[in-house]
Amino acid sequence: MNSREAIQRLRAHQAGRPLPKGEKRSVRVPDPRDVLVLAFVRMGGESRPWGVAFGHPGGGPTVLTVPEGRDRTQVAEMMLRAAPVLLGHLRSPALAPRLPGGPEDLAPIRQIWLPNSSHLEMLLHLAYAYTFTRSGDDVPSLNALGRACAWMFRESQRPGEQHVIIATAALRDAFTFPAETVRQGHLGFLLAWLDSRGDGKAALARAHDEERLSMSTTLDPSTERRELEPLVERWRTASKQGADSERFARGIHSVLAEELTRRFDLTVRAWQILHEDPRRENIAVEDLVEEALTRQWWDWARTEVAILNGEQGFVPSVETDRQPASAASAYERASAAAEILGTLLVHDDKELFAEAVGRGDAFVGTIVGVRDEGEGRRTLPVWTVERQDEGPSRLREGSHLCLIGLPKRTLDIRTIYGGPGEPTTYELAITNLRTAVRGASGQAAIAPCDRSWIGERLAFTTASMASIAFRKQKKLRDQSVPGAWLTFSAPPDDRTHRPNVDEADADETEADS
Amino acid sequence: MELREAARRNTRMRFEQWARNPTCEANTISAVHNVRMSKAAESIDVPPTFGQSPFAIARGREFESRLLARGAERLTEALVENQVLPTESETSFIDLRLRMNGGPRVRSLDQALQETAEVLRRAATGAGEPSLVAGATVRIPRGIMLPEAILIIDALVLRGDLTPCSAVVGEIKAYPDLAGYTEPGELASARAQAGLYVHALQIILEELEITEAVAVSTQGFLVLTRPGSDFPSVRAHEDLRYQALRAERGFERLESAAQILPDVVAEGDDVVDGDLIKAVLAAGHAYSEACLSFCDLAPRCHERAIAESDAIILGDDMRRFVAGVTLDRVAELLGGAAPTDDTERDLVRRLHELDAVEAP
Repeated sequence: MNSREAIQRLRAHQAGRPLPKGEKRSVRVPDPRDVLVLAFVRMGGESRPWGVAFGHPGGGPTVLTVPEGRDRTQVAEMMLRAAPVLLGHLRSPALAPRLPGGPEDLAPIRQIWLPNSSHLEMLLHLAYAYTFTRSGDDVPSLNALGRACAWMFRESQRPGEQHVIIATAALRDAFTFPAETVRQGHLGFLLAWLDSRGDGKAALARAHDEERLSMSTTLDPSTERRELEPLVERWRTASKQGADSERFARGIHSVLAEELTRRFDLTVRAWQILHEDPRRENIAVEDLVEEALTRQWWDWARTEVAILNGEQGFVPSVETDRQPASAASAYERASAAAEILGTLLVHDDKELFAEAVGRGDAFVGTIVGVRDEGEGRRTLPVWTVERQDEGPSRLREGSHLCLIGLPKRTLDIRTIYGGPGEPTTYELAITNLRTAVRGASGQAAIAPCDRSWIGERLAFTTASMASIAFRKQKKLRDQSVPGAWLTFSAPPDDRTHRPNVDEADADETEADS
Repeated sequence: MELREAARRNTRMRFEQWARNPTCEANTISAVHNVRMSKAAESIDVPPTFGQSPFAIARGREFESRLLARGAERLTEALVENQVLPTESETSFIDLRLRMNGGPRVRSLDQALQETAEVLRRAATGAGEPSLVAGATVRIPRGIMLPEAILIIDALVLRGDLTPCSAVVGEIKAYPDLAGYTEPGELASARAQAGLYVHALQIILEELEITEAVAVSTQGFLVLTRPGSDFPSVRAHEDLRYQALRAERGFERLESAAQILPDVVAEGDDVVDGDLIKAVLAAGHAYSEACLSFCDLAPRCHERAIAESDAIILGDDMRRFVAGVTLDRVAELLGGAAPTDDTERDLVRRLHELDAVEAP
């Protein structure tokens, strides 16, 4: 937590309510038809869902449950019923009226909204369970569901992604709450703060009441012990004896449906709050959405098209990158995405800029000197800039900066000087857009060497170094370089070559039932 | 009473509870005297919120029993595959789990302690073959966590085929191994647990005077489940060196903390439960964000913190940021009140250092 965030939290406490964070919205919040809310519950100790609720905001959820959350066949059948809705929403090529040919065919973006991060983890569990399964009534559909869940989980880890929205994270990004960080993982807690009127005490009391109700994929142990365990036992006994087990199944469904609906409704409320938020979308979100659609095509849809065409599409392993080169490439791609996100949104949001200053990554300064060190026709403008604020700084000589509002004008810090009581002064050499921008108006139309810049107050922030990460990623694919035999070799003890889990456990599942 | 006695003697969970907030006197009393926080909370009408899922407990038992069934066939195979056990020698399986925990014959903790010592002595004689011990039981002879600290190790590998014999501790957990996405908190907790066992084994070997013949490996293993399966996923070669040091230091600190407990508590066994609960409630507290994850008294401490205008109600970071200044006073300072000492002056400087920042 930096100074800026700390001060914001203190101000929220003083106000007795959450305060908007950021001047603009940093995430796309589409209309209901492009949003699918998804919520799960699971039996304690299990990793597959016991029930699932899904639907669009504005309509009630479809709730599916099984009586016995440990029965893999029942769970697979339930997920097969949910799969068409989920895959259809993602514009799965298998369910589209015509095969997509590129990212443009996947627009407008469609999102999955989840209550909190435990529900995101459920996508990973589903990916493990179904991506490569060879057992079940409809193996191709289960595999397709597994691949979609795996892609959504992978995509959710990419900074700046726009497909998978965790409601708690989206609210925390949009508001500063006057509460401990640990408590802010609970969706009900956050919404109680946002929906309460009156003083902070009433909001806090309501938030604490909401906090007692489980929001994660697991249920309150007392609910399991008091209500569900007896029902499951009776259902099992009745099923084994061939007696009427349906009424126990209905009882289980009733308890689970209530739990699922609460999670669903709160997630819809989170969407609604952000959808109705008067702050406009940050202009850079459009770039993020475009990149998200590109990734959806290359990382998932293209493979689905290949499989539909009977080709061998590349399906990434759920648990490993297999090769060191792949792992390194994924790392570089994630680094680049983080760089882009960290430097893109700040240009259209004064509060994000202030946060960057608080982190020591940005500053406001006045130009006190302009000179041209270029020779002949070549121009090399150098600005001397006096810093205006006294915030922290992580900037060093050699740091790469850009101008707020004109990100393509990049500058390198040559020297930093200034003693005690004096303003910090930077000597900045302009490395890109060294001349006036053609056809532009305002400041961009003035050549950087022009002395009229003196006295101008400008804002600077660290420039994106994503291009370096992209270049590294490209080089990592080169198999002709020395050492490629090592970086492209799979480890000898490849844990992915495991027996199919469903087959290995088949005897036990039967024995259990 | 027997159950309570058994709980008092199984010390690991109490130690871990104490380690989550060692600065809290109430937590120290609770851990040392095995006073459950849920009981203390109930006594003042604060509903307890922490509990275990009955399904999860059943799942854990089932996973462990399948691992150890048929001479621990499934676990042995996984340990060989992950090079914890050698491929070339036959591994013998010794099951010292209590009968109440699914073991075949051991009836009491004392019997388990005695048989564990015998197994270790036998290993020291150079048995020559590796063995896998389930439910090895060790005692830390300190007497701080009254009446004693007894720990039950889920799986202990004795590499008798090595010289000196190497003792490798393992911890079994029923949650799934999601590779790089496995819950870091869960893994940290399992490693801490295994580190505690390493420390305890080192003490026992010293007590048995067999440290030259048997060496405790600082690399242990975790046994998790493969996602959606009852088959194990072994994380071998887990470095437990620092976890063992943490446990050693923790016991020393706990010893010091226990020695300065109020008199009514220091009487130990002679006080009845009601008195212990009163002692927990009357003790000093040190509320922190960590309390939210384990302590049923956290709501009471949170209310107190609100009444005291303590910035901890906004998080640990915030308490550090305001450096002991109360939230009421922070509000005054934000409203323009003049600071009265160096701490407040520094806080005001930090509160306003970014005021002028606004992108042109």
